[in-house]
Amino acid sequence: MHKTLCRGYNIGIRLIDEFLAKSKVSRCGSFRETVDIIAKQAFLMFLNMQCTVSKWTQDGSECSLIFTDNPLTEFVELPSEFQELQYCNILCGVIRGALEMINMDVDVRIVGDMLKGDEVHEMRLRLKEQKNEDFPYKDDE
Amino acid sequence: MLCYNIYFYDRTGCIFYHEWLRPKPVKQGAGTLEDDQKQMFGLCWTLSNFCAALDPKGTDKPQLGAPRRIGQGCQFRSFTANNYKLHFLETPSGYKVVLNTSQDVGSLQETLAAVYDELLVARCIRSPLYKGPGQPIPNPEGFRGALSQLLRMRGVLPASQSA
Amino acid sequence: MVSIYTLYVVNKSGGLIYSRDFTSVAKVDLNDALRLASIWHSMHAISSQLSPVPGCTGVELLEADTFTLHCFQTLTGTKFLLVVEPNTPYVPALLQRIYEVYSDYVLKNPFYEVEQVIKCELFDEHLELAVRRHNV
Repeated sequence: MHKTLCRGYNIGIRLIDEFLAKSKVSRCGSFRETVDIIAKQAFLMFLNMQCTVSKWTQDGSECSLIFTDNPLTEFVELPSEFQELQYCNILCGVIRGALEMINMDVDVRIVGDMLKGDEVHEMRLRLKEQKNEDFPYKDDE
Repeated sequence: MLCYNIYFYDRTGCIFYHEWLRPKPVKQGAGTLEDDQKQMFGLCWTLSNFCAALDPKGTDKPQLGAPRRIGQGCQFRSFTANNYKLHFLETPSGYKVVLNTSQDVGSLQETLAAVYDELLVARCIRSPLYKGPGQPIPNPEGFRGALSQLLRMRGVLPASQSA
Repeated sequence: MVSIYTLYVVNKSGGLIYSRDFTSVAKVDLNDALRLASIWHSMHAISSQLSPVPGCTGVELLEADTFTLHCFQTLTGTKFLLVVEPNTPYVPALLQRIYEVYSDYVLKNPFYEVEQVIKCELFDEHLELAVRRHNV
């Protein structure tokens, strides 16, 4: 499981640039705007999937990504419970990696899994910290 | 029109540099190539902050000296001096492209966007040899060739200049 | 339609000696303006140092998403920075006119000390006139 998460993360840190290059998004707005873009544009671009955002907390730091299709499941031959969990976890890693590259430190967990009898697949996203750019050179001018 | 040199940066520093033509040698400028690359990064960093603070349309623009967030507010695109023009692109993921040409050139924003998409993303970020920020671009020779070709096709690197 | 936003005049040591907003849009407060002037000054020098071509005399034009900044440098090192809407035409001519106004009403003012902050009503008036004429 740990390895899968890492793999997702490594995909995520590269996927973000593919997304930025193809979608031409250049602004890094609020967490809210960012999650909307993930749900409406990124999921569509990479997974051809519809995804909705809901259950925002009052302070806008936490929300849920909800989807019912998961095209990743169609092409795998492992027993369904096993592969479903694995792939959703990959998605968590991907999102975490991608957002880290745009300075958002997030925690992503699966809270709903259709194969376990839940009505929808649900990922809970929580913004831990919004980081600033650091000047990389020690003796800056 | 002339194409002088190009710098690619990630968040940690310079990951690729190439010059086609540099009449004023680095020794007369920053001294060493390393210092030249650092100062160039610093210049673009400062100009990005400067533009964000000066933004006349800014409703939530940052104060000068406030921490930097890419994409917040107005973006710096280019500057023109009497004898060269610097074109700049910065992605929210921290990658930067700096291209110096002669001053008689229009906007190269589309070209820089193509450099990002067709070169940086396609040949570096997607390469299995690339390990992420902090690493140099894999296969720099191949990258350089593809870069020169892209710029030639877009009319930025003239035929009279060698790749 | 207002296309001229702000004028800054910077002396040869990088000190801000004049600033004037011509619109009511997002103004820069005085402290920030002072820092902007000195940043511009050092940036001007660095951009010349990093130039790939010898003989660089500094930045004349800066382009950003929502504005363009034109810089006119006199032989004495005084810089006139004009922040305008992108694609505003005839700005070099306006800068030339502003330089004339400066030379007529600031430099020729017997009470004005060169390199110091500009406080000349006639300069303000004629500057306003020049900009209004341009905007028409």
